[in-house]
Amino acid sequence: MIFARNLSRLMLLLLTGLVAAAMMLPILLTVTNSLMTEGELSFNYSLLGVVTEASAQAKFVNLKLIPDWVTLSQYAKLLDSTPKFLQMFWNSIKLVVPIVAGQTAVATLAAYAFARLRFKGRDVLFMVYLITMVLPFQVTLVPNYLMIERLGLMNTSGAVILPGVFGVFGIFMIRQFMASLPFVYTEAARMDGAGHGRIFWEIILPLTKPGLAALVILLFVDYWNMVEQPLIFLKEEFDYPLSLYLAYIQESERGVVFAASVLYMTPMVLLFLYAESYLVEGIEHSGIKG
Amino acid sequence: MNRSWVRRWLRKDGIAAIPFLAPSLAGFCLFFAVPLAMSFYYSFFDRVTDGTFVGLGNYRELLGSSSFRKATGNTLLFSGVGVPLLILLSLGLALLFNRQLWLKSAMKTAVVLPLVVPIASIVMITQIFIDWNGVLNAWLYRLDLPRVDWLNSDGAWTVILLIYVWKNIGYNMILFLAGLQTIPRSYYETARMEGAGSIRQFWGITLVYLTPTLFFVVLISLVNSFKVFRETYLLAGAYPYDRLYMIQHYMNNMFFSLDIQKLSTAAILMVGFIVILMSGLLKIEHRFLENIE
Amino acid sequence: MKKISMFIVLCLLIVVFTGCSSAGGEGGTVNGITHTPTKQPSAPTQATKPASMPSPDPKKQSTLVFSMYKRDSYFETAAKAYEKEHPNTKIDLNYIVENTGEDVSRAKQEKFKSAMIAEFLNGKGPDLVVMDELPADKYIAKGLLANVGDMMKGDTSFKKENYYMNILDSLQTSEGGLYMLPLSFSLHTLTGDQQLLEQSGVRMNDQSWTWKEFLDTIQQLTAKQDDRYGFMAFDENKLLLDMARTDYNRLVDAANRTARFDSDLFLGMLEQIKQMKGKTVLYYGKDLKQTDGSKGFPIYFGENELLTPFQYFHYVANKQESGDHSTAFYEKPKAEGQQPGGYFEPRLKIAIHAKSSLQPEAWDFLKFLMSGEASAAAAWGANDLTYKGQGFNGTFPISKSLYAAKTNNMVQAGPLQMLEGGPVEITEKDLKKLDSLIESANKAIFDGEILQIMAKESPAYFHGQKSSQEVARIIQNKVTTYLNE
Repeated sequence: MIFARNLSRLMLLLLTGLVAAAMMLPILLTVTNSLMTEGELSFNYSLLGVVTEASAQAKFVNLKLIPDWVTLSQYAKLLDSTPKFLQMFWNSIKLVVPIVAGQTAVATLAAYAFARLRFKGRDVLFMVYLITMVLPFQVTLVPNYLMIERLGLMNTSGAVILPGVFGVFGIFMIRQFMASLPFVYTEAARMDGAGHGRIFWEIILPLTKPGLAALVILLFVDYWNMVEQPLIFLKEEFDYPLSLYLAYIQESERGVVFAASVLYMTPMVLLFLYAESYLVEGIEHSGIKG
Repeated sequence: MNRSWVRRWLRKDGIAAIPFLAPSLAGFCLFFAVPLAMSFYYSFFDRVTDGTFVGLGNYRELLGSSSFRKATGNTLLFSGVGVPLLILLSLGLALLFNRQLWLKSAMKTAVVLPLVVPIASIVMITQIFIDWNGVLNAWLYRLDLPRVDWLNSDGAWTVILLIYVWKNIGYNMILFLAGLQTIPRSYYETARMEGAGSIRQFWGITLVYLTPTLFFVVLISLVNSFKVFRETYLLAGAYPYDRLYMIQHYMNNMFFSLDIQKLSTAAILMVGFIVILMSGLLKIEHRFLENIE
Repeated sequence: MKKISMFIVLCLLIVVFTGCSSAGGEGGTVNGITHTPTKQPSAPTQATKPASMPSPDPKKQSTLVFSMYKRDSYFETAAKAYEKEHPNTKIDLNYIVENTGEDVSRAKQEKFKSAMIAEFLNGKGPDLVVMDELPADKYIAKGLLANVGDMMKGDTSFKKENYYMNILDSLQTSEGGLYMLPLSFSLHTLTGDQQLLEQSGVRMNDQSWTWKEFLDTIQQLTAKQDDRYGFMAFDENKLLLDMARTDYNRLVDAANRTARFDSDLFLGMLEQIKQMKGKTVLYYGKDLKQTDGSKGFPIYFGENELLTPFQYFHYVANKQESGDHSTAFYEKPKAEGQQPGGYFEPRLKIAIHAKSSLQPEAWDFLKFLMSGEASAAAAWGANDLTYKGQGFNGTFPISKSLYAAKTNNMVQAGPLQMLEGGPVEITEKDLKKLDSLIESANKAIFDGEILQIMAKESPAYFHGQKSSQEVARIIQNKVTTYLNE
């Protein structure tokens, strides 16, 4: 019996291991390639995007996982000769942290209203909220541009941060978590005459913790990767976040793209590893039994 | 405003909702609702400033455009295949990770990591594989098969689908995991005591209580299936292989052609579609919420 | 047909509704020169308004906003000079990049494009804008640019004879509007050894030849048993672009939203370019990389884009040194029945915002920019004439008097020091030749999405990766998508 269980566990492990390995391959490639010399990279990838003669039959890109020589020269070059890099890294943080903090706060409040309160027009309003999430950036760019200009935010970080703070993704996500919390949890409190403020703060919020952890991770990832808003609404290159640098990196910079990617990914990986424990924290840890 | 309407509104949680909603509503109006309303307005006019009302003229013209119809069809096909596939896979993984498993944490991290890979890296690694001189063609060559221009073949569609699933599976898994945590363990204990097997537990408890999360994941997956445009665009440009030409390409091209009317009109049609889809989902969710109350 | 009639109704509506309210000379939806020379029926034409431009009120305080993608030092000098002459006018120069080198990724170009769209469509936007990076035809179609041609006509102080009107006239849209004024231009020509070509006995007429006739001529020339090659083109793709441009109206029917890239015409172009490779046509980009430059291959014809007068003299001197008897410039092939005249490419195309409240001031400043007054003082020696980094100051100016002043400087300065080789004497006769080349230019080189799609897909055929049919089908599909959006 124990053997059988262990066998099935082993099978599962193999299966998930295989999936995980496939998922990891591009990341592994990025990391190992970031340790290669520029010479090795250009030897491996010089044929990329080049229209070669049909007669050059056996010439291909050389995909390699293990570097010939392990070197940190890409990193050195990136940090040394691209002084903008660290500045951009810092810019990203200055933009993303306020957005994540702001949106989480604003969204949690609004989500409570949408999930636990009943008022007329609730569903219609919610629908309008959702619609804005689906539309591509260009659709509202022209009116948005006007709005940002009218508010005097053009070329300031506010033009990127404020729309981020009021983004609707967080509301949507937290609403779903709050909506799925059984009403029995709050009924007792309501019987005791607790107001919505107290119910929100003392009951609902602690129960939404796994959702909040997930929200913080996903928001961070989303905004760390944003490209369009900073490109259009920030004027000075000095203010650009890292995502802009990476989104438009060129073939000529192929030598550093991997190292830049690794550095770019690091904060998000650290955040995930940190927040992961909150993510799986079950409801029974929260002190209330259903 | 009608007074009895106000009174009825107040009798419910209307007043209580105000402090919760106010901050969000203020910002939302400024940055989202007003621009959206303006887009709606543009879709009935012939130009952005000093325009003339053309009624449904823009809509008629849009529906008459074969490229718009092609883009719509391609988007429906891609999302129609991609979204269910992604949800099935990510739900499976989430259920797997919700159990005891060796090396669970490491595996979970591996699945989530693609989320953080920057687009430049994704594009470059994809190119390494699908370029004319890329790895895939090297394999074909070894098998004595002719090379394929992947970006101009039906294979490109699969490649984009793979990128989409690979990139978003961790996203959905996080959502599902967080959703699974909200299901009280005691429900399962009760079910077990009543003699329900794991399959019945899945259908009767897990899936039922996951419905709000599922609703959310469906919409987010749909949104993210639109966002794969960025990768497609960087790989294949504004006019990619026929099958890859999606509604986002159409909208992007209309923007750079200064055709905000067509862009807005396309957006409004898209909104209409999403509204129908969401009303359906919301109805299912309502039924669920009534059930558990 | 239905679509067209719907459009006409629409256009009438526009005319009725905007007739009294619009201030600028807008209207006249056309294909700008950057796109297609065909007529489109979708043009909301407007009754021509009395064409007289009020001269700017000198007492009015005004700030002209002038936006561009890339900085050009000429604009700065000119703005300063203009502000000095007009103390009540300020010029607010906005540029995104110092030079293109800092924007290899094109991110900032995308930003410039998006920001201009957002500004123009919101009815704001700059008073003047350099259109070189923008899709001018779309701006014109949306009525966002003022008809500077009308301003020119209505301004009695504007002296037409001082400008290369052959260039300006050929930039007019099919409805006769002129929406952009190029401050300078480059010349696209063929070059050959006149004496040699005359001796060959092959009859040719560069004033009228089509690509087919031109290529036939080369084939006759190379049929003789000597070691001379026919035509040195830059590469296959550029040759295809040139050929497709002349036959653009047969390949693309914008009015009916159809393309014919799957036709025998286009397949023929592709195949001919490949077949002729060798004795008849050589490709500079590829074939010459291994050797030491143009001297290695004796040729009958070459192609050239002259960006500066200096390049002209430099090229001629070089050719002489490598054994040419008499270098001459020939017109590039054109479509059948097209009137004679060479090709040029407009540069630094400036437009005035149709909604600008400062149109008289903007036109006055544009006139000042065109006149080149602020540039005339600049020296124009060999070092100032290399195009690189010079921007306007190094190119062929649209102003005849500026050109005359500068070439005069050059002749006065004595023998011109070349980059390699000895100094070259520039004579009046040489200048006359160059003059006639400029005066005869009347065909604008245009670009656009369709040509770009074509240029992106074609190399796969030229390099033997795909068949001509495959490539043609891909292009046909993509262009059809573009036309039907």
